Amino acid sequence: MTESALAAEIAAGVRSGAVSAVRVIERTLERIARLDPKLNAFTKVMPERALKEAAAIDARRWQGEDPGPLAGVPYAVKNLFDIKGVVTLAGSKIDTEHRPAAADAFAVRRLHDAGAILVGALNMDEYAYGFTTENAHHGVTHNPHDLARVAGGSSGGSAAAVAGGLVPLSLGSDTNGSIRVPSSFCGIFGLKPTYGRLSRHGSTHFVASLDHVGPFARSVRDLASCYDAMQGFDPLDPVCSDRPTEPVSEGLERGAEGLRIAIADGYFAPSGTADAQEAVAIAAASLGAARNVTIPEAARARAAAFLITATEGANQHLADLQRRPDDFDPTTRDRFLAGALTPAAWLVQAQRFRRWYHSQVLALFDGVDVIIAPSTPCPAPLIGQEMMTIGGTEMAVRPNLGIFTQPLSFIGLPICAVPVHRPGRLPIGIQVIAAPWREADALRVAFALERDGVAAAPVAAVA
Amino acid sequence: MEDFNARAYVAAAAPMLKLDLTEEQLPGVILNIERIAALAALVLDFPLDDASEPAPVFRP
Repeated sequence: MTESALAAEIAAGVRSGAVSAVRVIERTLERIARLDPKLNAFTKVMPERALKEAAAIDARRWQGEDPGPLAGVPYAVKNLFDIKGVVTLAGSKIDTEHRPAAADAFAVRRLHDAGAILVGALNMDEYAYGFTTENAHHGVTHNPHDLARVAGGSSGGSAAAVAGGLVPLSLGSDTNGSIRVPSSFCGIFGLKPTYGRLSRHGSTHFVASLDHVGPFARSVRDLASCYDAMQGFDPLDPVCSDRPTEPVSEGLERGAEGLRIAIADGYFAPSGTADAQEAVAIAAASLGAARNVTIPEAARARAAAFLITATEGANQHLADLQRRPDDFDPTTRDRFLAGALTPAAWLVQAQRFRRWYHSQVLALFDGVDVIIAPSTPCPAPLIGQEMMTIGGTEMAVRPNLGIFTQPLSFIGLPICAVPVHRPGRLPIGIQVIAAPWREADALRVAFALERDGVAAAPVAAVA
Repeated sequence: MEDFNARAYVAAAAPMLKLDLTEEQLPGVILNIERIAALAALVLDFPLDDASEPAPVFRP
C-alpha cells in the first residue's frame, strides 16, 4: 500500500488484516509532519486520539467484529466541526477563547461509527467567509500543486490535505461554494449534497439558510463511501431531512447510462474564462452531452445569495462586531460590518426571489437529469492576488471566485465537484449538478468521467 | 443604486446597530455596503407577485 493510498484501498487492507490501522495512522502522521509545514493545511493534529482509535479498530478486527466500511481510514475536518475536547476555531481568533467542544459533531460521530479515524482539524477562511483561505490568524493554506497559489476556500485546508495526499478523506462546508471552489483549485473531488441531506449539528454556522456540509476525496468511490457513512436523520439540525437514507455507492458503476446531460450556457459561459470553458468542453465531449440549458436569472440568484450571506453572516457575529471588531480578520471584518447594516427589506426580497428561482430551476429538471457548469472562473490565483479579469472586466478576486457556485447552492442542489484532468496544467474543476435528492445522478456522472480518464485527482507532488 | 449615499447611510444606521465604527474601518464598510447595494438593486428590480412567499418555512 502506498503512503497516499485511497480510502477504499486502506479499508480493504485493514479489514483483511493486510495492514494494521495503527500502522496506517503512524504513516499518515509521518506524512503530515513532513508536508504540512509547506502547506499549512492543519491547525491541529491529534496523534493520541488517532492512535487510540486505530488500536480500537485493530482490536475489533482481531476479535472477529466488523471494523466498519471505512476501517482505519484517516480523515480530518475543517476546524468548524466540533471535536470533543478541542476548541472549535471556525478560522477565528475570537473563538479560541471558547470552551473545548463537549462532543463530536454529528458527521464526525458517523465517520467514527464507520471505522474512520480522525487525525486533525484543518484551516479555513475566518467564519467560512472567503474563497481563498488566506487567514490572518492561522496563516495561508498553500495549494499543493503550486505553493505560490491559494488552495481556495473557505474549506482550503480540507482540499489541500486531500490533494497533497496527507489524508484520503476530509470534511468541509459549503455555503456559497466553499467545497466546490477549493476542489477546483486543488484538483480533487468534492460533494455538496442537497440542502438538508446531511446534519450540520456540531458545526459552526455561517449562514444557516445556505450552509451544507460535505466530503472531499481523490476518487468518486471514496467520496460516495464517505457521504453514505454520514447520511441519516438528525433532529438536532432543524434543516435535516427525515427522508430515508439513499446510499449511492452501489449504483456508481451504472455511470452516465440513461441520464440526460446538458451544459449550462449564458451566465455560466462568459468570455475570459477559457480554462473553465475548456474543462466543461472536455467533460461534455466525453459524456456526449451536446445540448445546452439556460439557468434563468442566475446573476440575480448570485446577488440574492450574496445578500442573504452578508446579512445572516453578520447577525451571527453581531455581538463581537459591536464589542471587538478589530479581533476579526481584516479580510472579513468590513464585510461583516456592512452585512450588519443591510436593510431588512433586501434580505426578505432575496428570500422571496429564492423561492421563485427555485421553482424555475426545478422545472428545468423535467427535461434534463444533470447539468454541467464550471466551478471557478479560473485556476487558483496567486496568494495575495487582489484583482482578476473576467469577460473584459477587472474585478476583485475574493468576492468573485464563487460566481459560478453561488447561484446553485442558493437553492440547495446536490453537486459533485469534479477535477478535469489536464496533464501539466493547473487544476480546474466542473460542477456536476443534479435535481434535489439526486446525489446518485451527480456521482454516477462523476464516476463515468473518472472511469474514462477525463477526471482524475493524482496526488500533488508537493515541492 | 442611484442616489444612494453610502457614507450617510452607514453613519446613520451604525449607531442603531450599536456599531461604533472607526475612521480606519469606515472606507471598507462603505465599499462593502455599496457592493451589497448594487447587488440588492438587481434583486429588487425583479418583479415578484404579491403572493410570492420567502423561501424558509417554519414547521411548528
